[in-house]
Order: sequence, then C-alpha cells, then structure tokens
Amino acid sequence: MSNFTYEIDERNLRLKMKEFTVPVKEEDWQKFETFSDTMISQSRENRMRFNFSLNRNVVLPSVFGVIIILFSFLLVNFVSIKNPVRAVDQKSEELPVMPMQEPKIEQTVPRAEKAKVETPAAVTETVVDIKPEEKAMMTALVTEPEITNTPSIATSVETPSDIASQETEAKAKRREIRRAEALEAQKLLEIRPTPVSEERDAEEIRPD
Amino acid sequence: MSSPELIAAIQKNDKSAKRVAFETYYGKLAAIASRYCKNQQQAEEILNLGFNACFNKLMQQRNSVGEMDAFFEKQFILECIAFVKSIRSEYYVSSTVHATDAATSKNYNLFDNNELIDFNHLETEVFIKALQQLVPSQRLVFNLHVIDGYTLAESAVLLESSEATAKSNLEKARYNFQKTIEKNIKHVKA
Repeated sequence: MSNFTYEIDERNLRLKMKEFTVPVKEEDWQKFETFSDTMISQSRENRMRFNFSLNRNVVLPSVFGVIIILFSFLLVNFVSIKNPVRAVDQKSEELPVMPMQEPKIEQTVPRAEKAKVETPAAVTETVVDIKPEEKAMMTALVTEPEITNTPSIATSVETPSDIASQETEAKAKRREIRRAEALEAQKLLEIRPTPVSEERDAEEIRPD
Repeated sequence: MSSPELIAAIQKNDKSAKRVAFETYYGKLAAIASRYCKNQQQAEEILNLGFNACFNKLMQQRNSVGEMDAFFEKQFILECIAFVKSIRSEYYVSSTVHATDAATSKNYNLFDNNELIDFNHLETEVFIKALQQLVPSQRLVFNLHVIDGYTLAESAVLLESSEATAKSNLEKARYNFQKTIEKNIKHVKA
C-alpha cells in the first residue's frame, strides 16, 4: 500500500488553466503568415507530383497474382467444360458425311497434227504472157498456202453413263471367269480317281 | 466583426479576417499548445500547424460551424494529439525512460524536511512546467480528462487506445504530476 495522497484540486487546476492566456505579438502573426504560405506552395507541389511507390508490398502481390492467373489459364486449357455426351453425339453426326466421288473425266487431248501445208511445186521458168490480174491471182496463191488437212481435236470425255457401262462389263467378265472356274472344277471332279471304299468293294467282289 | 461574419470572411480566404481570428484566439490556443507539448519550441510549431488546420477546416466546412470558439478549440486539440502522436520515437522512448524513473525515484531519507505544499495556490506556470515534464501518453490523457473535460471513454477514443489503458495512464499521470511539482519546488528552493 502506497502512502501517496493526491492533493491537487483538479477543479481549481482546470479553472486556472482555462484562464491562462498568452499575449499576442506581431512576430507570431508574421511567423504564421510565412508558415501558411510555405504550406500552400508545398501542397501545390504535392498536387503536381505523381508518387507511385514500387516497394515489395506492391511488387510481390502483383507477381503472385500474375502467376496464379497464368496457372489458372493453363488448367483451363486442360479442362473441357462442354458436356461429354453431347460432344460424342456431335462426333457421330459428323462421321457419316462423306463427300460424293465425282466421276473421273478422262480428257485425252490428242496432239494437234501438224498442218500439212502443200507448198507449190517448183515453178519452171517459162515465159508466159500473164496479164496483171492473173499475176495478182498467182501471187495470192503462192503467199497463202491452202490448208488441205485441218487438225481434228478428238476429245474423249467419259460421262457417268460410260463409267456405269464399264463397271457392268467388268462384272460380266468376272462372272464369266467364275463360270469358267466352276466348269474346270467340275471337270476335275469327273477326272478324279475313285475313292478307297469303292476300291474295297471291288476287291470284295473279286473272287479269291 | 461578429462570429458568423468572421466565419464567412475566412471561408472566402480573406486575410484580414484570418488575422482577426488569429489575434482573437491566439492567447487561448497558445495556452493549450504549451500544455500539450513538452517545450516552447514544439508549442510554437504546433500553434502554426493548428491554426492552419483550423482555417482549412473552416474553409472546407459548408454547414454551420456553431460557436467559433468551441470549433477552434476542438480542432486545435485534435491537431495537438496528432502532432504529439506523430513524434513516435519520442513517444515510446521517453515513455519507458520516465516509467523507470518514476519507479526508482523514491525518497527514503527520513531526516529530509518535508514541507507541506499548498497546490491550490501555485502559479500556473508551475503546473504547465510539470505537465510538460510528463510522458506524452500521460500528458495527453491528463490534459484531455482533467483540464479539457473529456470523459475517459472519449479521451480513449481520441487517443485510439482502450479505456483501461487511458485510466491507467491517468493514474500514473496524476502521481507523476504531483511528484514533479514537489520536485520542481524543492529544486527551486535549493
């Protein structure tokens, strides 16, 4: 137990303190004026400045955030959110669609035969009286050779009906081959030696 | 110039009105500053800061301020608390130093002439000096509760501490305040 006794009258102290004032001086106002001016200029400078502190409290969370986002993207790539049953149905629907085979059109373009140009026979030098009109006709004949045989470009284009006929022919050939094979087989059977049982029977019949 | 006119003029950033307000409330606010700070230098600093904050608040205020006297006093006290708290190093270091001093500084001399001190007839300056020698946390709670008339809960809210801490600090402040006054008087006499 302490012997301390609080002897200060707080009400009296409060009154004294409330009454207490400090006299005003001209210096104080001047000091305040300079102080307020500096504060205003500082606040203007602070407004103009753009402070962005890059410390570890900013950098570390941002780096971790980027890592988490990248990792989540990686996981999303592996996981398909679509309903698997629907996906299978779609695949089955997609499969039977086959492109129609267009019939092969064989275009056999024969080489254009060289146009046979009948050159006029050697002109024997004969002195003939030729009129100027006839002469003009002659020169025309000499310069413009007559094309006697024009090349005919034969093109054989196979139409679907042709392909069908070819297929039927091939089938017919196959049938014939099969028939021939069947006939050969029958002949072989006829030529084949008699079986063992038949021989035994024959032996039995044979008198000893 | 009446109070509403003065407020209107300050809100328009009128320098003459500011000067009038400064001269009117300087005496009272300077007394508050000397109570809350530990020396005259700090008191001058806080006076400028406090007045500047008061004028800025008044300019920002669009609603009626009420009594200008009370408004200035409240704003100035808040500014004083913020200032004292801003000097954190002093706040904590001095706190520990003074706590140990108070615990160890006991007078065991039985032959020492213990004169009775009449605390009610002491000069105001003695009280202010004793207050300035208190630890910041104790000084703040003593000023708020004993002199400025705030309740313990209110002062705890203003100091951002629990009520129990405020109460504990107040008890320590009362003890240290009286002991400091005794010590100072003895020192003057010696």
